[in-house]
Amino acid sequence: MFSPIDSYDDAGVVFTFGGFSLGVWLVFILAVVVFVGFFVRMIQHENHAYKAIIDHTPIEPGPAAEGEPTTY
Amino acid sequence: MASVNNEFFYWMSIALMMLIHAGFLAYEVGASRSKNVLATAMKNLLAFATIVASFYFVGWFLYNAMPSGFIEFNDAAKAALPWSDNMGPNVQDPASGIFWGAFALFAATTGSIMSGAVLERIRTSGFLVLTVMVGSVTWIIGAAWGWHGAGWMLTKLGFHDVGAAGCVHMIAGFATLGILINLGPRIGRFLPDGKPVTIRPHNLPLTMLGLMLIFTGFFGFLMGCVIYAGDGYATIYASPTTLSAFAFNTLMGLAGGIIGAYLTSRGEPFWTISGGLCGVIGVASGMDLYHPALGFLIAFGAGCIAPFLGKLLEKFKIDDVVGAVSVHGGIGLYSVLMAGVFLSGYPNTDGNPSVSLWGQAVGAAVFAALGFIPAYVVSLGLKKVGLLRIPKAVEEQGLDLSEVPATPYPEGIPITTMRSSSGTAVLALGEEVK
Repeated sequence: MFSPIDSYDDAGVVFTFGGFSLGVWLVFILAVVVFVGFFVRMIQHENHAYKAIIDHTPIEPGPAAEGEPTTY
Repeated sequence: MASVNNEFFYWMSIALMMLIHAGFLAYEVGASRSKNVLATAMKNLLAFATIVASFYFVGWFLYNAMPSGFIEFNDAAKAALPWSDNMGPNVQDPASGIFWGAFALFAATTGSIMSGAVLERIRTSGFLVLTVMVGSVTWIIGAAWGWHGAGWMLTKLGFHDVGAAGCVHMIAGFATLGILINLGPRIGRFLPDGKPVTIRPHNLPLTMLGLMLIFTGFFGFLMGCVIYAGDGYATIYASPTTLSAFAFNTLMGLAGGIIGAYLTSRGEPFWTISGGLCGVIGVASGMDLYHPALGFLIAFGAGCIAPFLGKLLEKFKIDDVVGAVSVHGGIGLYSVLMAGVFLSGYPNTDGNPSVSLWGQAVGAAVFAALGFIPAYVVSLGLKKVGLLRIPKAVEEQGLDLSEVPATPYPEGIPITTMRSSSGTAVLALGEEVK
């Protein structure tokens, strides 16, 4: 469905959608959105983790696994 | 000997350069205290991932679009756009992907050089913003200007830096300096009177193994510094060369740097092995042309200087955990200038000006500014919005405890026992510096 070629005879571009196509534009934009979203999500994770430490709330509730030392 | 396929040549270069990242990871994990081990490893992994992705998005385009100094939509630039026919599987184009890949590893190396210097107190997200900027924007602009067959530094100044001491090492080193000024030292690194306090790595042998991996990876890095078309080698400036030339001076550089750093650091392990890196970087700019004995001497000088640069930074209360500013920034600058001293008058190809000390000095100044200014400004901005440094409580308790849902040493770290004067074994306990 996303192939730019019908056969390999004289084929050049073989990647999905083909160059300069709507499909390539869409996946490129989506990839950039995911990339930026990763940073947003990471900052949220950090803020949550730092607040938990400052508030002395456990990161992983429940008893420590057997043999696991107390935190540093 | 039959020629090696061009794609396979750079494929091996990429694979070997991955060892640089294995080395960075081992080095930095070892240099951290045990409370920051996993967060350090995560930072390295994420730096690699974010730089490679962003280098695909913008980096390769910038390299092809900016040799003249500013963005130009020439054919090479258009072919480097992520939606072009060349930036994906194309059975008629065996070059674009493999060259992009090699440059992506250069980018990841440049961005990761900063990683060790900022250990144990930078926010991972803030670091990733900075490393993406340096790895996918600033260094590659520097490469387009001074490490490209049509770069304006070559065509106007006769600039010569075959081993990328300027665009990779100088830019990374000076960017690190800009960030460290805004980031500040780790808690306890300096006493109130400014006296530096040594914060010991939790695993010094691992740092040494890491540097040995980096040395190995450097052979892949330097492999990627030559243009190979299946029938011989040329420098990035199109002058003929051989891998033999690189072998002579890479190995003599390693040797000279290690010996030099050993002498001036009085056998301190961290600086001695970092001296090897200093040696290779020190000869990088002119390693296609130096006599190996001269390469050894230049590298020896690089190794001798680096520990003093580290001490100089301490006087300004700059906490560079792994010596990145000294080793990469300082010795990168040294390398570019040494090429000006010893290669002055050497010709370039295609009618470009000859190598000169003046051209090297101007090029070095451009790289220093390109490294320092954007990193300083962006890190200052991150500092203003609270995204540069972790809170004090988190720094004291460690990043692993807060950010990483795993334990690096669940069974504890073996503690060295020392024999007391009375003959009984006692534990060697250390008080944590805060």
